[in-house]
Amino acid sequence: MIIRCALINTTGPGNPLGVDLPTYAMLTDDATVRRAFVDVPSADVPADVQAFVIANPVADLTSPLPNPFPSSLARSWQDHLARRYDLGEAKWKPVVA
Amino acid sequence: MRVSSYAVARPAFYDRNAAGFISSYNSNPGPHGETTRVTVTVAAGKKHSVEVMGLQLIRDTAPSATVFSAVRAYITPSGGTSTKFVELDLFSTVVNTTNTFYVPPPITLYPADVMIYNTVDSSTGGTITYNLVYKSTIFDA
Repeated sequence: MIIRCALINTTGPGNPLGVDLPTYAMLTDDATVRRAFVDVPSADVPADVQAFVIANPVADLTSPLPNPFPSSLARSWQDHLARRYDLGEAKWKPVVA
Repeated sequence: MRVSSYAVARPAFYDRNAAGFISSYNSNPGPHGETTRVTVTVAAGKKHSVEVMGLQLIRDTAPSATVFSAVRAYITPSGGTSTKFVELDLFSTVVNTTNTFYVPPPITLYPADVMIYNTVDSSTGGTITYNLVYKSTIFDA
């Protein structure tokens, strides 16, 4: 599913800008506002985060989210990724932005 | 009397709960710092049989000055160090100059292995189209 996420300085090779997700394809980004639309496998997104994204649609990179992304959902997403990738800890901390 | 073994070979990978997976980046941004456009991490209990890894740069509009632009592909094996296994560079200011590379299969990625495509463009002005694609079959490890 397509989600607008926060663009961060990652620790990957080359220390690039990127989204803190294990698997994604970028559609478009804006380094100034630090946001990107990314295509994320639905299996990587828990149902509660999917519901938030659907309930808070955004059409561009600059408009604010209709509602702030709750920290409880951020934690839910981290835990989901840790389980799916069998890490036992939250390595990725993606944020809907 | 017929004697046979109970040992049965595992099914081929494409018969082990297999599913196709494709990820791509097709856009023409202006100059930018190094940015991760596509990343793939292999989930627990799965493997990827990689069928296509394609990278292409096409100069769309001329910059006023160019340093270089590049696509870099990295693979990080689980617990290992990131290795840049392909870098395509474009130094030309000439519109429609192209650089294309397809990584020959087969490549198998194992649980927690990571594949990354980064792009960078240090030119002044101008745009470049990047066509990056990754296609694999995901199957039970």
